[in-house]
Amino acid sequence: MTLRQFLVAATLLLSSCFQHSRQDPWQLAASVEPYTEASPEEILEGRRVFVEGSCGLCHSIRGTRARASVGPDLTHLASRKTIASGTLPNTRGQMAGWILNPQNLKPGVLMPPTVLPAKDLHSLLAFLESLK
Amino acid sequence: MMTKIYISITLMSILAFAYYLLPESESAKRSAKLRVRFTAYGCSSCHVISEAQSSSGKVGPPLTGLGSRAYLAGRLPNTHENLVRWIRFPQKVDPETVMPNMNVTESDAQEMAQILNEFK
Repeated sequence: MTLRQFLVAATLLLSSCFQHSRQDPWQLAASVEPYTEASPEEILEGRRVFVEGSCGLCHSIRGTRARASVGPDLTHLASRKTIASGTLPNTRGQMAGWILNPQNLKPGVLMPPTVLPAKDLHSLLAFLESLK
Repeated sequence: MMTKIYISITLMSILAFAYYLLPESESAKRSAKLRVRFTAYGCSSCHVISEAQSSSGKVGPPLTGLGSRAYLAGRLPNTHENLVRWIRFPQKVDPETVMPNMNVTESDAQEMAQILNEFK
């Protein structure tokens, strides 16, 4: 066995030793059921919050009046596996925290925090989840 | 010289393998479990919980030491059942709360509540 072969084998063994098998949150996130109780009225209300509130100043959702191009296009947001450029799994809770205070989740991000009344946040989440 | 390198690397490998064989401590396992749930449901995007070294969310209160608090959400006595209820149906406890319903399953909520309550 050459020194090189030996080193490769030892490194592989070492690295495998430090990988304790752990459950993967991303895998679990894929099995989290989407929130399904949203009524058409709530989704419509969420759409109003998006378009008339501050979201529409930076993002666009094709088919609505929101057509800004500062932030990413959110037309098919609900079909994505991740949000915030791959930083977070796309689940309702992550989305809520991201909208309300993105700075702590991804320091330096350009998106500002948004203060929303509870009802507006919930209908907004319902609307965003409808964007398949 | 070469022999020394061989011996030291072999020794390191043996040590690492021994470390690998050591069982993870029960509390480390539970913290890891909680961290997985927290990331998947997104709790961590709003709540900090230092016991599970979980993320930096600063929207809601930190859940550090939750087990020794008297009240949940400012209105529910801190019992296991109430914590499960609060995790699963926040609007039923407080219709004005910003915390969304995240469709947490009964069994996941039970598990999270149990681990959270152990953090005194």
